[in-house]
Amino acid sequence: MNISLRYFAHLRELLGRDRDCLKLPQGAKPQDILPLILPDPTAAQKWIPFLKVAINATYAALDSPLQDGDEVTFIPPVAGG
Amino acid sequence: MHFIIVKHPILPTDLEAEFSDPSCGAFVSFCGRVRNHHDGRTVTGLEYEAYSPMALGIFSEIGAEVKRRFGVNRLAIVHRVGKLVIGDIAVWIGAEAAHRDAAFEAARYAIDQVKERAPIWKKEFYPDAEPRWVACHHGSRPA
Repeated sequence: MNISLRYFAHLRELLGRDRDCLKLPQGAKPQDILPLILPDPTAAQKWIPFLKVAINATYAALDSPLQDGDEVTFIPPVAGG
Repeated sequence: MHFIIVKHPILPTDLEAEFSDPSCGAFVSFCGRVRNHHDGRTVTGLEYEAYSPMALGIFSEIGAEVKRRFGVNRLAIVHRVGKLVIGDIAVWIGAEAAHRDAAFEAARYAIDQVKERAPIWKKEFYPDAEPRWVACHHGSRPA
């Protein structure tokens, strides 16, 4: 299935891009994506505790099953206001 | 209810003009401005970034919660993105209700929830160091 990804703020700068498209197997979850996009396992370990995830612009659990066409956004710690 | 994310300066007088319900005796607004210091460091400016479709959805949820919890008639949340200088308004919230308690509580609730939940980020700029993203909610930032 095809999943689009959006990156913002700290994560966008770390990765050097603001979006990706990935082809993932059925049943994939947001947590499966992080090791694929982060530059190395150390970065994944460091970032995972600080990221929330949104699926189609709504907060979701890291282990929510994804559907074809979903947009996944990893949300670094927020600081609005 | 009025929820927007803007790139241009926020003008409170224009926004306040929309709050004129004759059944409402109370109007409270909150203005969040760019401060020249944070954690003991001098700050020269901020840059805000938002995941706008989601942030607007969150503003709308906050609006529904405020209506349900406090019975306000009208709530506005306006957040600015892009580069801001000291003194610029980053966020403006207006709440209108029949009585003052509801208006005060609604404005306070709305700004607290915006800060906690909205996917909006800010980068601080300093006179003597590299800029950095500030983490206010869901833990601190990775080292």
